[in-house]
Amino acid sequence: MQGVVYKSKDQVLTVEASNIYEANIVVLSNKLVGFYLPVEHTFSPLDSKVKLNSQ
Amino acid sequence: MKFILKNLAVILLSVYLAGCATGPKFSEISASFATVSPDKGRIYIYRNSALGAAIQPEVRVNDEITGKAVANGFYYIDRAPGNYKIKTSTEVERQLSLVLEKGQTRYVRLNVSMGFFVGHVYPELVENSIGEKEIQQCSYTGK
Repeated sequence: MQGVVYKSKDQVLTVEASNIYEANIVVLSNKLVGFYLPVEHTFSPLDSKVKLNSQ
Repeated sequence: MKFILKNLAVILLSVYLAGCATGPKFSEISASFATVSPDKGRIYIYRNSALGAAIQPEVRVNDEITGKAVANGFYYIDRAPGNYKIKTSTEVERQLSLVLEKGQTRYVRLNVSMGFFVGHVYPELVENSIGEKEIQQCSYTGK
């Protein structure tokens, strides 16, 4: 499993490369591991995982 | 020399003003817009800057021309829920992909950046709270 996709209800998240993509965060074991691009149906992993301080 | 500079300034001002939208402002006309039908969503597309006003590329939504990126202008489209790709092209092509849900309103701002020969206009998805404020002073360019 690559992780769980979380989508914001009231905030916009985009990932910018050559184009701009709406994105959702992908979390695994309390770490941000990448982004899911819903239009492209693609998972874009991060090179280094980011630990999240969730409550 | 002074005469030439004066004339040049007048010409530049004319070109600048000619490139700006002139219709009613969002705050004046939005109440008259039909409400979105329950099985669709709405996308507002606006350009709130006069920078590079002469550059007005077409805006394509899933390859369909829906309008032009007129400076200080806006329009909207109602579409069925689904995936959308919003594209503008000048000397480069920039594309924004977004998901539209039933009953949802989305705001897409057309930004301008400097290019090599001409400025670039590119779409950016903004939060509704920002879009609602920024669009207020834009003029309607839709049909």
